[in-house]
Amino acid sequence: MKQLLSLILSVLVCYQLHAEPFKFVALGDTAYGGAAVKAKYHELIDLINQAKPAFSIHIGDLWGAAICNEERYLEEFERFERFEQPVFFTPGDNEWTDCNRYAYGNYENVSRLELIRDIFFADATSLGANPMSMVRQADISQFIDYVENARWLYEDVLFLTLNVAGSFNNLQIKHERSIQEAFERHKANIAWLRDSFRIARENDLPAVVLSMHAEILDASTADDYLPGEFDDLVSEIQLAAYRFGKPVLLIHGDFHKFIIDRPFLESREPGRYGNITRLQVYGDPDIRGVQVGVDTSKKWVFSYEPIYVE
Amino acid sequence: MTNKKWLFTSFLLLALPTLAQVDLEQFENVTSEHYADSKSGFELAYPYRWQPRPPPAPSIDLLVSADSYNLPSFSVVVREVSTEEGEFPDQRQLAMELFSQSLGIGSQRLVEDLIEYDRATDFKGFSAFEVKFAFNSPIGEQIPLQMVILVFTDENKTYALAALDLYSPDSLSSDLLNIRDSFQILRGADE
Repeated sequence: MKQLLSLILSVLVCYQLHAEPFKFVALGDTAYGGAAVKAKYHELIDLINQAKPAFSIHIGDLWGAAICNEERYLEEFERFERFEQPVFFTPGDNEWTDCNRYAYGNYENVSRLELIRDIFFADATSLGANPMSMVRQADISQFIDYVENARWLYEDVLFLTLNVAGSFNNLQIKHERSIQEAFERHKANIAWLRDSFRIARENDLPAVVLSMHAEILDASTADDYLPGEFDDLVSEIQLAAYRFGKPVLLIHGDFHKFIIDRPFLESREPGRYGNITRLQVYGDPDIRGVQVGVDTSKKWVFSYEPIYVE
Repeated sequence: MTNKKWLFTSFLLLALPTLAQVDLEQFENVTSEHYADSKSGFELAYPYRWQPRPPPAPSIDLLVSADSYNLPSFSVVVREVSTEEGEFPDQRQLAMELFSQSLGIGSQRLVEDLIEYDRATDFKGFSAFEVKFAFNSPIGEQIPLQMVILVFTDENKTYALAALDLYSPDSLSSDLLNIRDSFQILRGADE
């Protein structure tokens, strides 16, 4: 009898310790317009809540061309409270790398990034009504400013975010401080990417999900004989994925076009990076999300289902 | 259940994959790494590559480029031209040279032809030449590209900058307005 109880207990423990299939939602470039658009966004959040994903990932661009004043950041921070499940966030260009434009208020971009860090990344947790803990690069490395670069583990799948935003990733030649910031952040991003994939390799994890705002692939794949603005980062991702050898999902937004593809299959070395899948999320005016199924017992791990308001 | 069955069942359970115990808080700053795959022969080494690289050709007196990171809207190559102040170099030759350098064009990336160029003087203090190229891609396509050459003098030397728009045509004209300041930044980075 004692042995039977031990066996049952072992089965229960092992059952709980095995990676279970789960779903998360990816979304971004949301709600650029006024009240009507925000209302539609709220409907989408309601649908996401009903779907009960493990968490959501918002890849940035919380508003369109609008003044980057503090009130707007606070408003969007509160809007994240509508998510009943945790929601991880990585900033997009409209929140900061566009803010030095006239239509955005002529702010100094770095000052907006600092504001984002203060408001959205004050704690080592996700956003949402029921936040999840995450590990921030700033807390464990010499890259002490980068609270927005985070990673977390869910059912053995490693998730990480990189602060890589559209609008040239703040590498704006006419703003010296922006250039300096971009170069420094690039170092931090590469370090975070390399270290996260090191963890994935050393622990034999089944998959990695990498999220950022910028569309980094277009210039590097469509015209691979031209130098692209993100070539360096793309190369790093390729190398990391190649060494990892298991499914890698790159989630981004920026171009407002729903795409799922394996972007390097048509490259000169198609087999080398075939484990990289790219998901570009919907974007305004399509206020939609993508529910990503994760089943590490399947060969390609990830499956996709749009989720949106009719 | 017999002891043998118990042991067998326990063994099976232990053999099943379980959630990994992963330390996400251990950080290693990998600044350089060498990796070789003996199966495929694939080999790589990656120190940081965003630093400006040295001039690729001895004929270039001064080359400033953020090519290894790639400036977002355009890449910039600066060519110190040995001409008298105020005298413009041969535009076509200069365009070809700068274009090739900015792309790192190899034998399979030959510039096919210079389609046209327009000269627009006094563009925010520069002499600017807009040129359009077509070149043969590795798969045989003819790719039209547009670039702007800017010429200005600084410390009694004439400089030509090739700005190849890689991202957004709209951004190019606005960014060029401050390119003189940027040139100083880039030159500093190169030194």
